[in-house]
Amino acid sequence: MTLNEDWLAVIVGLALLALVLAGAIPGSVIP
Amino acid sequence: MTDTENTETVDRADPRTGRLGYAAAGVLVVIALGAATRFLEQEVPGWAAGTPLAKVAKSIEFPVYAIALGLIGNFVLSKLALRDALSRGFRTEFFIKTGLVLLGASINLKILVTAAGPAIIQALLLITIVFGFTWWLGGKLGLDDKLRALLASAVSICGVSAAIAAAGAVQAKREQLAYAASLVIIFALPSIFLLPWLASVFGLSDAVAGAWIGGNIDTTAAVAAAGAIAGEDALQIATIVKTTQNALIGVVAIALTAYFALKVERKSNADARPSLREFWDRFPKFVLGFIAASVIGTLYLQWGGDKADIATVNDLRTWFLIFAFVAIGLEFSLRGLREAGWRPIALFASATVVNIVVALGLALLLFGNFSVS
Repeated sequence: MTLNEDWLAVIVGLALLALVLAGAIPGSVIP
Repeated sequence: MTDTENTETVDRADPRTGRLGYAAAGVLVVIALGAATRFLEQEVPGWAAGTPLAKVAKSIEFPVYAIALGLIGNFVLSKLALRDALSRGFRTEFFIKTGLVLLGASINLKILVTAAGPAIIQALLLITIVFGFTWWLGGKLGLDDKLRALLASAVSICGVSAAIAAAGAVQAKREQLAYAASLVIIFALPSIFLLPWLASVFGLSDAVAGAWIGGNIDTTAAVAAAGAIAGEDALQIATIVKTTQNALIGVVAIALTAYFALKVERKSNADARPSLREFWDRFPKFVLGFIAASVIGTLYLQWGGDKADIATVNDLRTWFLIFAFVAIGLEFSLRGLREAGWRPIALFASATVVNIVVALGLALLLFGNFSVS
């Protein structure tokens, strides 16, 4: 469980980073 | 490492806990309280403007609201007999690690590389001294070897995560792990506020304050909370220092496995020899995500990327940190402490004092001339 959570955090974190840098998540949508 | 994280794996007993609907409701509670945190952080200074409380209201940072709302939520849900059922949704570990991966994007690779040297030296010295002291004093107080190993790992490395890794290594009892987890959180909560305040009283630079916070506070989530209160630069150094300690948990867990196999269970050298696979299994993978994000963020800006995008990533990071701090409050429990007596508390308190003093000395020595910008 811990191992999965560790990798999940890496995947979610890097995916969000990629989406923001690619312009898919503009700053205006984050409250 | 962190954290409250797994107090739920330690003392979860409610049969409803395993149901997906309750876990999803737990996540929704975290998100709702996170939104309330953001609301209060933005609105309270306006409400207090022109009153004697204006200055105080302006200086309260989001970790304070998040933890306070988490504790209130904890009390209310406990009264409604729902807290244990929802606890699977209180994913402190996931939220803090995702937040730290995102934090990596705002840390220039040059700072990460420059700080890595002193951070590794600080982590090695601090872990050796604090683990050694706690193990020694635990022996003098007549504590069980397994509980000594758990408490020494928790106080010297990274809180509950370290205790969990150590518990696996020495095959500790569930109640010993629950007990160590409770102690970690009880000591971490006041240090979130105490250390940034003391750093300001002592007039420490951002780098020294960050290195002190990262070296001393046990759980990663609490380090991030204290760092956020101390300021952005302090937060960056605190995170680098804590992440370095996190990375070393694998080494300590394997050393403990080998020690207990050889000295306690009296296995042969060949049976006790650790493998590379074991080291990899115990290595906290979010450290890799944190470094990758720093590389991506640095290259992005170097190749002409917009700084506003990194600011957006920082906003997302703040949300994940808020969720983690809310979850700390929601998970807080005194349950593990009831039957263990005063000696482990005395041990943990003494080790925390030694940790505070040694971490401050090392931070001054290793980060005294360090410049974050």
